[in-house]
Amino acid sequence: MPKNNSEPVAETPEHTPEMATLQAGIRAALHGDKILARKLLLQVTTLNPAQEEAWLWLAGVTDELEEAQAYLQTVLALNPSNQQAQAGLRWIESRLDNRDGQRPLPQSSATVQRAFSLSREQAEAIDRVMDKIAYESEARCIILADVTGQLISARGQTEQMNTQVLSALAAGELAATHEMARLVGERARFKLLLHEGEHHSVYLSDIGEQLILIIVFDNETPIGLVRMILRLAVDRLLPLIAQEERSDSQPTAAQGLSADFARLLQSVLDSSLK
Amino acid sequence: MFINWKSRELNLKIVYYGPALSGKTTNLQFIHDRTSPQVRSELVSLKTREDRTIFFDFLQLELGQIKGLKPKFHLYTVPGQVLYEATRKLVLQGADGVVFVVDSQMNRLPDNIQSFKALHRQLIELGVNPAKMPIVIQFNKRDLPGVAPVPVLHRLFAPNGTPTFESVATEGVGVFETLKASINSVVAYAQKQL
Repeated sequence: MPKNNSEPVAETPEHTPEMATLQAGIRAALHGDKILARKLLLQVTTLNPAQEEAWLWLAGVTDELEEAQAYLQTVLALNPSNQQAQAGLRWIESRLDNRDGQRPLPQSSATVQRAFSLSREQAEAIDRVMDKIAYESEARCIILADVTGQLISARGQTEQMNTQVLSALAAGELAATHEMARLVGERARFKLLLHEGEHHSVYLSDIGEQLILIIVFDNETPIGLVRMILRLAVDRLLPLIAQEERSDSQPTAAQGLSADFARLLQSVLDSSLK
Repeated sequence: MFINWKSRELNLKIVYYGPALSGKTTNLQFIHDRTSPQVRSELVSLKTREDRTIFFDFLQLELGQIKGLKPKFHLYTVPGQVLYEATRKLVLQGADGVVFVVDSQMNRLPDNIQSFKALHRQLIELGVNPAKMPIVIQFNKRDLPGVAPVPVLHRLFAPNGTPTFESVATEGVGVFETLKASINSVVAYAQKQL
């Protein structure tokens, strides 16, 4: 006898909302409606993140290889012996190898050298040059940092300023600006960034490939003067940085970072906890 | 790493990396809240009105003088949202160590995997060998329902014995353990470079 339609259906595993959505998702996938399929399948994985089949089908309805790869790895995380996921992953990895092999390495805006150190003599000479430039230009302060935002030298009136944070922000801003230049198709880098306020103005610029200079004035400053400062900085500072470091100035380098350094560091960190 | 032998400062950069909403900023907030103001800077957060990181967060720890050196750690987070890929790479420049913050929720696994791959790709693009970079993995949000089992996360993110830590960053669980492990591996790596 046929069942009465109004009779409530028991929630067997086949009839849970999760399974109904999964089946609707699979049907949409089979009909080629990838957008609907994806939406439904993601609903399933939200309801039940351990739903292996939904992850597997998700891999089939995405056009992005890396995304599909991540879905299949999730399937394997749930069930390492899932053969469809294994085969799918092998296929994707070969496609990715082909694609990445043909693609030239993306241009990096700056490949930064990882270790950078200044001898005492270099650091002193840099401070002297910075003092002189700050004095001659009547800038409130001048800050030299590297392109990763690492503060190298800050001279002038810096007492009320967190110069390390300023360096980090300036490096981020310059890097973002270079990326903008690249995106709009500008081959050269944008050279100088200017921020003018009511009482202060701030100029940011690259100095060579690895360094940036931040100049803060208390008042409006003719751009010609800023350009002069930058020329001075390039002429006087770059040769100092480029000097070979003299190794006799840091006799305790390796000793300082000896085995118990990390342990001592941890105890300082522990004692500084509130 | 940057060493100034005049001021005897040893500067090291640690970047908290991971997918959107995995808890990177929460880690830094907890570190900021629990360390004394003498050793840490203010926490600088560049975020949207919805409290999402748009550029980076920055916190500096200055841990006094140890064996004649003044170690300073610069902690950064990257914005996790997919569209900020270029920004992530910029922040990653010059990193001496990475903390990868995994969102343990099962339905976030693909996002974690994609972010982990992007990290490796970006390191290579920056000329850094990911296998040599000191990386520490944090499995965050362990208090939530529907989290992936730790052995599964191990297999995906730390198959070669990378240090891992379980955490609930909102409550501070595992936050300092992760930071200390990262500091350890970064210092060990710096020792090799000197």
